[in-house]
This record gives sequence, structure tokens and C-alpha cells, in this order.
Amino acid sequence: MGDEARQAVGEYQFGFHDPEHATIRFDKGLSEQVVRDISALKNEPEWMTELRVKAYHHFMERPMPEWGNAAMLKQIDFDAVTYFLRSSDKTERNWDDVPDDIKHTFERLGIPEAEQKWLGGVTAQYESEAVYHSMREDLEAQGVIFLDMDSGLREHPDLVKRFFNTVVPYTDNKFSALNTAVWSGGSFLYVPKGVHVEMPVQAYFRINAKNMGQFERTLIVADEGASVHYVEGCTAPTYSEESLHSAVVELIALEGSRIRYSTIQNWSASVYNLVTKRGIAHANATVEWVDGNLGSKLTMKYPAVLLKGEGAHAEIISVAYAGEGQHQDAGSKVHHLAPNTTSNILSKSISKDGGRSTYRGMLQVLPKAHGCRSKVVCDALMLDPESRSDTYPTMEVGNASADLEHEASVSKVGGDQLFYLMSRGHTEAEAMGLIVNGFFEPFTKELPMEYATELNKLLDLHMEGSIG
Amino acid sequence: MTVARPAPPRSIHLWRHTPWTWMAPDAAVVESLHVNVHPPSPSCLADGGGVHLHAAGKDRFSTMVHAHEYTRPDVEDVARATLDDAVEGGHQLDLHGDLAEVIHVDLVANGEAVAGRLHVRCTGHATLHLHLSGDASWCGLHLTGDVTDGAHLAVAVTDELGKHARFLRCDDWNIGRDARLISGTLSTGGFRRKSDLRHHLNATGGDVRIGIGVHGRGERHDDHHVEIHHHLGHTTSSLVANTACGDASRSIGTGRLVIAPGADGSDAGQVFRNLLLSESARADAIPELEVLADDVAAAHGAASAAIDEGQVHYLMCRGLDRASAEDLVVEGFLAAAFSELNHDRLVGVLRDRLIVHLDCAQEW
Repeated sequence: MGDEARQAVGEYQFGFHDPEHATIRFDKGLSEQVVRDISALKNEPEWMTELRVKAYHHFMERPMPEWGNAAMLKQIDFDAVTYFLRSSDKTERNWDDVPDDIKHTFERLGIPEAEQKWLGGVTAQYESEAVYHSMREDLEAQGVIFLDMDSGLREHPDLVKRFFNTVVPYTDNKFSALNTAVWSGGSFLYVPKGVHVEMPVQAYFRINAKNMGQFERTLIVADEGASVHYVEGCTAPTYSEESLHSAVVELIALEGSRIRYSTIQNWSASVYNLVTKRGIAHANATVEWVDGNLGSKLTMKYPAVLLKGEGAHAEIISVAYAGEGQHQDAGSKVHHLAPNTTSNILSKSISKDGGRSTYRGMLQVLPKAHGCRSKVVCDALMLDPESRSDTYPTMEVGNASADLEHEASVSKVGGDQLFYLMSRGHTEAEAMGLIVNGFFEPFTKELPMEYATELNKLLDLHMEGSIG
Repeated sequence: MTVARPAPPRSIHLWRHTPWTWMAPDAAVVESLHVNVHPPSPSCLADGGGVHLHAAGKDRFSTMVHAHEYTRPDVEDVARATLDDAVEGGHQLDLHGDLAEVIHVDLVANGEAVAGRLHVRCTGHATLHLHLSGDASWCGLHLTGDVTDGAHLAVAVTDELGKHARFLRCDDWNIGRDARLISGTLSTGGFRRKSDLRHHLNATGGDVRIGIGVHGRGERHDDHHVEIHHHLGHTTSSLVANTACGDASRSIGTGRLVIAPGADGSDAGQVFRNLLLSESARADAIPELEVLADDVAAAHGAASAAIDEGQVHYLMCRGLDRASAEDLVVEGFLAAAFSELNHDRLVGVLRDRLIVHLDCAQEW
């Protein structure tokens, strides 16, 4: 890594932690009372409380998944997790009103600067709840609703009730049940008919306390003919004790609309990142996931799209970087439920220093989905002999007219590529960094410029010491 | 006698698409399980020069097989364990020297439920054709083999089981240093079929090439799980599985390619292609890679599409009716899985069986 990158990112750039000043902190452990207390604290409607309780019981009854990295999953001690921690009494709309220590954190993360430069709106979540929220006035005037999820439920209960839990029901998996039981924070974004939000809106999620569980819930609805780009970033300090991040994201793209959801998760290596992300695309709508996974101890995340309406389209681009002690079990799922739907999936992963990256994918075409087209490409790069790369794709084709392709490859950095770059004056480390950045280029070019620059610097940091 | 075993849950990947309860033999009717192994033709033996076949100790196996000191593969698997319970002993086929002709072995499965085990030990160069037929309603076959250092073995497995038969096949092959196994399977018979084929490249220079052609008709269910383990470096493997599914048939193709730590220089590839011939047919492909070494070339691919109307039109313009034209396209598609094996004798055997099968398709 060059000096410039070192200056930009430091050791683990977001590994710092600030003193913890909680206004409310629940005892560790989960019970029905904890679930009811969270709901009561937020003064939620009864239907949400009941939904939480049902989800809690489902979570308790449902066994831990036996697939994926079952050994790592079994290490999670749910009784050692703090399920709710409030750091600020309210969500501020003026940056100056955010408590100093929290403001300090987000300033180090560059949130206010990014907001001024290129964002249509921003939400910053610290521990369990949003602490800062801002929205451009012109977008508000067009009827765009961008709130933290708690405020969304409070101010637009009917809209939330209509869509909440419809794409990812709590019965979907153990961790979606956990999230539904104890969710707090997250984003609620509604874009009215025909409105195009030109600038991305952003949410930033930060876990600061150790042994903390963050369970944000995000719901994005693009009404007919609307479009929006939502960007999400996540960090946490480095602790020896594990934290748990278990989010649920639901996207609903109504007829002719478009939602792009970009995320770079750079959790520290002590975080379990177990996330359920799924979108529904109605007729002629498009859902795009641009998904980067750099950090965490174990990530299990498979952004999915249900192509429900004729002519719907899904686009999923994901990258994963697995370093020492990390397992990035990521992938994508596309279900072609309607005729003439199309999808593209591109997955890239790098394994280094004994890290393990796994692509786990599902491509399904139902019998009535005529004329579907899909292409899946998975590329994996192995940077040393200790690392591991797995690919587990599944194609289920129930309609004869479907035209599907899947291809995957695993390789190391070519000696000829290194030689070519080194013969032009680069050191081996620089050459390796350039090759890795080039490998991820199809992903980075889909990100906003600032994110792409940041990602390249982070990769440089991760690549440090990869040679010799 | 079989021992009742708990059915593995469907969360276990191997049994997700074809539950064990579909494939387990009914213990009440499995009193005596056997497979009749017929010897190769005398002419084949005469031309084989060096074929060394032992008396079996049973009259019907007089020329080619004998009871084998069987060592069960170290695999915890319900199918293998069940076959192990069902079959006492087994039969071994030794293939020595350079055998110019194809050795044809008929496996006849008659009766309510039959099972058998055949161990093939190849120390030379040989081409073997195993053909399974009979009227059994349940048939289990455990095929094991050693292709020893420097040996080359080509094996074709074909069948014409009845359309109501359930067929459970397990393979365990070990490939030695600089040895080569070429394996072709034409899967056309039976109602439900589960094949779990495992190949171990145990030494440097080992090579395994696998071609599988599956033709689904009626409500046939065909599940092929193929594992290739590269235990040491500088080993090569390829798998091509072409499946043509018609009517309401369903096929599942699962590949598991494992490159062990330190197996540098391994070169592995697997391709699954599905051709769907009807609206009700379904084909799943799950080609999996587990790579634990970095200096390797590993790739897989899968594709699924409908029959090419342009090809059908081309053939119909030359006087064929639609059914014949489609059969010809299917024949070419399935044969393509074998042509990549680059073994003329083996491909010839498989292609002949494929043509016979398609010619008889009207009787299905």
C-alpha cells in the first residue's frame, strides 16, 4: 500500500471506538419481555408488537441452519448480545445538534462531507437507532419520504403496514425472525409515482459498543415509474468479543420503477454479519443490488430478487474479500416468476491469508415463466495456497423456453500479468494491487465516485503484505 | 438383509432433490438381493489376449468373476451403507494387459428387488461396457474400481431398465499415478434414478474424464451427483453432463469438484447442459467448486435452453417429420457429451446404445 492510501485509511480505518454514552441500554439476552420492551419504548402500534412477539417465538423454535458455516454459527452466544442500546434521545435534523461523541464518529467516517457533496439525503444510525437524518427540500416537496424506520412507522403507519414483512416474512429464516422481533432503526424510503431521485440517498450504520447487536430494518418502495439509488455503508470497531449484525432489507419496485441498492459493508473482523436482503420487481421494474463485502468474521448474505411481473429485470453485482479468519459466504438469488423476465449476476471474490470466500447462488425459473433470460458469472481469485474458494450455484429450470447460462472460474494472479506490470516499473506489491483493483473494476464502476475511490483504498490496505 | 436406517433430512444436500425415502428399498420385499453378472462373449475373450478372469465359485459366474474381499469406502452415506447391508461379498473383474476389444458385461436385474456390487481392477489398458437390464422394480448397484498406476480404463454404463424401476447407483473409483479413467454413462431407463458417482485422483498425473447423457421421458426422475476429488497436484479432470428432458420428466445434475490443499497444478472443469423439450419438463444444475489450492485452473459452467427451432426446421426441410427431427437433435446433443471423452471405442458403444434407445422411444 502506498503512503497516500495509508494516510487515507489508517490501520483498519474504522477500527476506532468512542466512549459509550448510552441513554438506554437493555440487559444482555433475549426474552419476550425484551421484545415487548423495545416495542413499548418506541410506542409502536399493537400490530407491530404482536408481529415482533410472533417472530420472537419463531426465532426461539427454529433451529440454527445446518448449511453454510454451521460451525461458526454455533459460536454465536445470543445471550451475550445487547439487543437495544439508545445513544441519543432523538433523531436530529441539524448536524450541530448531534451529541459530540457521535458526531465525532461520523465526521471521521466522512458523512457530513459526503452529504454536502453528492447526497440527496442521509441517515446515520449509531447502535440501535438513527441519530441524524437529513433530506433535500426539493425531494421532500416531490413527496419523497426518507426517514429512519422508527419515524417511518410513527409518521406513515399505513404505508409501512402495507409493505412491512411482505418481502421477507419473519418465517423466512432464523435471522429474519430475530430481526423482526428486535428490529430497531434502518431506513424507510418511499418514492412516489413518476419521481426520479437523481442523487443517491445514503444510510450509514455504525456499531460502537462491544457485544452489540444491530438489527436495522430497511424498507424501500418505488411507486410506479419512479427511480432511486440507495447507498449503504457499515462499520464497527475492532473488539475481541463478537458483535452481531442481522439486518433485513425489503425492496418493492412497483410497475415500471427502478431501485438500485448499493452497499459496502466493511465490518471489523469481530462481527457476524447475517443479513437477509430481498426485492420484488413488478412488471417492467428493475431491482439492482450492488453489494460489496469486505469485513466481518462471517458474512452470510444472498441478495435476492423475485421477478414477479412480466418484463421485470434483476441485476446483481457482488464482490467479496476474505482475509485471515474470515468467511465471506455471499451470493445471490433470482427467482423468475413471470414471463419475459431477465437477470444478470456477476460475482467476484478474493481469498487471501487463509480466508474463505463462498459463492452460493440460486437461479430459478417457474413453469409459467416463459421466455426468461439469465446469465451468471462467478470469478474467484486465490492469492495464496492457504485460502479457499467455493462455488455453490443452483439452477432450477421449470420452463423449456428459458435461456440460462452460468459460468465460474477459480484462478490465481497470472505470472505474466505481474511480469508485464513490473517490467513497466511497478513493484510486485503495486502490480498485485493494480491487478486486484482491476479484478473488482466491474463492481467499482457501478459505485458513486467517492465510494469507488474508498473501496480501492481499502483494497490497497487489505492487500498490504500480500507479497513476500 | 437390509437394516432400516433413518432417512437423511432433505437439508442434506445430497438428498435434497431426490429424498432417500424415494430410493430406499422396501425391506419387506428385499429378502434376497442379487445381480446376475453374465460373462463376456467368447470371441471377446479370445481377442482380449491377456484377459484374466477367474472362476466365480458359482456356476453362473464361471468365467469372469469371483467373490471379492471387499473393502467398503470410508464414506458415511446411507445409500452405500444400505447397499453394503444388502450385498454379501461381491464380484471382482480383473483387467490386465492391453485389451484391444471392448469387454461387454451384462448385468441382469430380475426380480422384485435386486442389488449387486462389482469391483473393477484395471492394471492395463481396457474398455469395458456394463449394460444393465431386467425387470426389477428396485435395483441397487455399487460399482467400485481401482485404476492402478499407469493404467487406462474406459467404462461405458448403459441401461434398459423398465419404466417403473427405481435404480440406485453408487460409484467409488480410485485413480492412481499417471492413470486415466474415462467414464461414459447413458441414462435412459427406470422411473426414478439416483446416481452418486465419486472419483478420487490419488496421485500425480491422474486423469478422469466423465461424460453423462440423460434422456428424460414420461415422468422419469434422474438425479446424477458426481464428485471429483483432486487429492494431489498435477491431476486433471473434466465432466460434461448433457440432459435432454421431455414430457414431465425431471433431471438433477450436481457436480462437486474438490481440489485439496496443496494440489497445485490441478486442472478441472465441469459443464452441465440442459435441453428442455416440453413445457412440463424440469432440469436443475448445481455445479459446485471447492478449491483449497491457489495454483489451479478450475472452472464450471451450466446452461439451459429449449430445443433450437432453427435446427428442427432445417431437418424438417429435408423430409423428416417433427418427432424424427427432434430425436436427431437430441441424439446429437447427448452424443456431444461423449464425443468430448476422445475415446472412439467408448463413444461408439455409447452412441450405438443411444441410437437403439431413440429408435425404441415410440414403445415407451
